[in-house]
Amino acid sequence: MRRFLSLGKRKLALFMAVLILIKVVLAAVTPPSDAVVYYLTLDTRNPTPDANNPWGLLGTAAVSFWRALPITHNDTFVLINSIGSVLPISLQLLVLVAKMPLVIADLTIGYLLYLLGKHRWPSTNRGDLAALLWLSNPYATFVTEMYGAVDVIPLMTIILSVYLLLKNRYLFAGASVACGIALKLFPLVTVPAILYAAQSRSAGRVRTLVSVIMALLGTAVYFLWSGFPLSTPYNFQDITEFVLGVESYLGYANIYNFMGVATFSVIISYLLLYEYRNAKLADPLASVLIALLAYATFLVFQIEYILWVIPLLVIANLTRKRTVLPHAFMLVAAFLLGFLETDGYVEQLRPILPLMRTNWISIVTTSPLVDLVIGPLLHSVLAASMLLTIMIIASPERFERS
Amino acid sequence: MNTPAWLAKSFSRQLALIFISSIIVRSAYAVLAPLSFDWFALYAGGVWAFQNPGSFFGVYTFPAYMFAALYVLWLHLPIMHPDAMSIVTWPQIGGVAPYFHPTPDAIAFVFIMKLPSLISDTLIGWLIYKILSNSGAGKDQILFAVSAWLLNPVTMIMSNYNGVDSVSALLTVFAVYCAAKNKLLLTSTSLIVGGLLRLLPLIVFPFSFFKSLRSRDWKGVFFLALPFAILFGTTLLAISVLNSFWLTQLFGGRPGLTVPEVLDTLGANLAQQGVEYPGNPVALTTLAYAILLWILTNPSKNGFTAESLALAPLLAYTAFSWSFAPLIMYVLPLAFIHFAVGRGQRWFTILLSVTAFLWSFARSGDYFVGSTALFYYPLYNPFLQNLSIQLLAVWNLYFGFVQVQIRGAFSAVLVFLIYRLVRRFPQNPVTNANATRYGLPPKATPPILA
Repeated sequence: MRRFLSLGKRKLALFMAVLILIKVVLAAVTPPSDAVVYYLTLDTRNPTPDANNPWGLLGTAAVSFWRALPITHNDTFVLINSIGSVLPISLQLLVLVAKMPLVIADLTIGYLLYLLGKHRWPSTNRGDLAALLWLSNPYATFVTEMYGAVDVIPLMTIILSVYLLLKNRYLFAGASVACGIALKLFPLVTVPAILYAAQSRSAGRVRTLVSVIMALLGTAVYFLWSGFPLSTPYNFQDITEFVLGVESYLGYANIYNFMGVATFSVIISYLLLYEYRNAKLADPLASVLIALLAYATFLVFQIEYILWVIPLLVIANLTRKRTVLPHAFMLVAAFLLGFLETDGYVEQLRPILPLMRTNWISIVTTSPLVDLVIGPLLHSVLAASMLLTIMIIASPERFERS
Repeated sequence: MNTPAWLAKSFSRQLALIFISSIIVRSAYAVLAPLSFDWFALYAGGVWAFQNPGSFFGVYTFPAYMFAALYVLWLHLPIMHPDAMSIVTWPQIGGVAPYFHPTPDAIAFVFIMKLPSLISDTLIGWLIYKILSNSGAGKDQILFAVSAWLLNPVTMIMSNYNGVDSVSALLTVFAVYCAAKNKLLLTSTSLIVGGLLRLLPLIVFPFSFFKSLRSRDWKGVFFLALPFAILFGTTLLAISVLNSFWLTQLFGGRPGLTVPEVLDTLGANLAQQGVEYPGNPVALTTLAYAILLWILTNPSKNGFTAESLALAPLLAYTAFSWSFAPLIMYVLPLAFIHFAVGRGQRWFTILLSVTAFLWSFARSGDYFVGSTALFYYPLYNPFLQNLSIQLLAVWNLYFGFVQVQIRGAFSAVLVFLIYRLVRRFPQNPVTNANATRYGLPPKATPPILA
């Protein structure tokens, strides 16, 4: 990476352009996941409240935009019946259109990381490095451009919020994270970190109160849009809608005596930071990352959950080298888990990856070995990596990279 | 708003204002509060116990005699005395909670039946004040802690839930107060009496006992053990000889320390759901209890606080077990005392209160939700009635999901408190000439707060 940075701005820009092109191409040619297909084909299904939530609206808008293009328009119903197959070019274009907001959000995060790097290390090229590390992250590309997980959009609002906070734009920071909450609930866990950081920067009680109100409004909007809990689509909504996840290994959590371990983890992280690492709690780059790590560690695994922590981990890796190794373990374990368990997406990749057509892949991915041994092992490695990262980030500054 | 000068200058006046306000508000709420089935069952048990003395025997049913005494008090008032069992009824339509028609006689009846919790809560507030005064806490901290208990909606609501846990909690806090004054006989007796109403105070005893034992404070061991030996030793022996069935009756009560709750939490509930239950579950409650018992009774760890020794086992139990909502009444006063001698008193107090309220709401949702329309029964409105029934349906259908999150949040606060307690208590000794450590003479130490 440093070698690339030394090549000069022009070559660096060229390299980034190539990365962006790769992302766009992957978004265009890779088969859509079930979630993407679902939201692109809402008009072919019985009316559901999902049509009125942001992702449904986005899917509908993508289809409308696609229909407005002067091209042949295949029946979108083909998407449902062609999972795993190479789609006609027209429908692949539809998939690209649907994924474009995700690509834009992805690139925006890259730019924000560049700005964060410039803010934190003004006279260095770490801003460029941060953007590069994010854009070239294969896991982020797999989850966003290939799989089509929408988490990148609320994630962008979190990173934007952190940046605005560091620029002392407290109300805008609050508004940004509130927008993220309205889209998906997981940014909610970062609210205490953002509020505390704002307070420690003398944001004032009025601004803090307004930010709290905005966060609550965002939460209310989310519930209104998702139709939860007063409608029946609880069992029909895509799993990405229930971002709070389920903490019990039974796969559902309707037993009150189960403890929400993820919620437990987040809150106790905040409390311990407040009590013993107050300076860390006041640093939004650290506290927001710790909150997201603490939360994602104990959720039933979905590949997009790991995406939440990657941008700020990039910053952390540039700050202290000890986070690099657990980060690498995290991504490898998450990728393998996603590869083995992701909603049948592995099957969908078969047509484009010759390696996927071999029998041994099919045997491995469908065998009980994955559910009973490999999956839990990888999940343990993932959880351990994330917890270790939390401990490193929360540790005193003497580990900072010089 | 600035505090008036006449008030600001006097700590006593502020304290008195808090107590008076609390008494007024709590008295009004005692009559206006929705009624729970638990309270209904207890007062009905009291009436029955009056009419059929000796019919109850066991920690679940001993409180009935307390209500029987109150019933006698009500009978002696110069008012009308309708049939006690007809005062509180179940509504004909959509009955989900008991209700009473607010006639003067009924109001007097309900108020008297709630006197134990009213008096207990006020006395707990007084004990918080006394304990913190003896520990050298600042006036602001004392006022905040006392008002956090007395004027806290959580404590008001839970206090009115069954009217028994307040009394038992009072006896627990009183035991802490006595322990801080090295009056161990009273400590032990108080825990026993509280334990006979609700088993939970008994789990505090081993911490006090083993602390004395490991410190080789034989006098402390003797005074702590004596009441237990007298009551349980002789009583249990007599019961065992006379009728062993009574032995199971004595400790057959709930909520509290029934076997599934002490030894295991997750497994019992899994079994109830029809899931294959693992043969060797890890009992989180017992594990946490044992670890804390070992750490806090370490004789080399001096400078502890009496409330820490009581708070730790209660936290271990509440954080990891099947937690009946009113059990927070035991944790809250001691936690407020603990928060008062450290940083972040206000935030931690608020956080614990909010999570405790959410957890109480989650655990006792039908009490809150189902009583919504019935609370306004005199203004009977079909819309409110239907709303109440619909809310209850929504609650049953969806809030299992949310309850899990609330449970996680509440347990996180409690576990944090455990950690803070264990990590801090050797470093923050109780100070004051009147306060003593277990079995050791008073020692002058610097005050906790400037």
